[in-house]
Amino acid sequence: MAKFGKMREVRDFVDYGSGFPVIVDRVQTVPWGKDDEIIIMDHGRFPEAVLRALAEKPTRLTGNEVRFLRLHYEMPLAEFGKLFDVSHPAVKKWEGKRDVVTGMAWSTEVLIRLFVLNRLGVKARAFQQIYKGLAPPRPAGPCTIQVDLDVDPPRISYTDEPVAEAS
Amino acid sequence: MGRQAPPKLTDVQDTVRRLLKADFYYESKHARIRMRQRGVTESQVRYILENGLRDPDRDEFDWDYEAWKYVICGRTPAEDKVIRVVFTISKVPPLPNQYAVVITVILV
Repeated sequence: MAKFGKMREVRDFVDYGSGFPVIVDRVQTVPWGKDDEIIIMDHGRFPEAVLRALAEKPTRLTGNEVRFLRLHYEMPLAEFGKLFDVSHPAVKKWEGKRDVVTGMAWSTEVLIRLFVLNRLGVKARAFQQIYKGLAPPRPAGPCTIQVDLDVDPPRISYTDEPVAEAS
Repeated sequence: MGRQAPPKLTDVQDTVRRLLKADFYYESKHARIRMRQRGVTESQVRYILENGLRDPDRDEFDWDYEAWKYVICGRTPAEDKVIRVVFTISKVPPLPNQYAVVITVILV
């Protein structure tokens, strides 16, 4: 059997697997190999929490966040663009902004957020509340998603504190 | 006399599919960082593990991890990107089950 260290709890773990940083309140990690560790995280609930957090994010979506949404639903650029009545080069341009806001029209971004909520199966009343909250347009600005996967449903919050880049 | 690696699993593809179905799936910190750097998402990695092709010639035993590193290669549906996923199948103590653990992802 492989060589493992003792499991430990890490607070405010910054995860980069979605293509942008997400702070997870608590994860367990198991040291492994020379200087690696296995992240013990609920991979079933994590993407859903991130999707919900993006749909309600208090600032505009970045290129990497839009790319995460598109890839989560396994859609090519053209198919994703067609849903929101834009061309595939437009989607490519948004995603090309990487960690910067896409610059898409707010009305298009609202449609994308509602699409995500619909795919998540958010109940009608919550859907309505979130929809009302989407006006007026969100500002651009730094915002990192923070999730607590230990509660049901996962607790979502946001921080504008800078997060260290993965190395 | 040199150290001898333990035998490889013979049914890697079936095993990894079974583990994914049961959500017995983890990633290493190294893998999550490489995924960020290489623009690969978790859904893409899972897709390749489920639908990719085994590349047993690239398997190797890693003495640092003391585990067999298995390789599955495939093309992602939404981006037409070819990705090689390096992973192991192992128990992760103190957890009771066997898990598919992704070690790294490589763009081909």
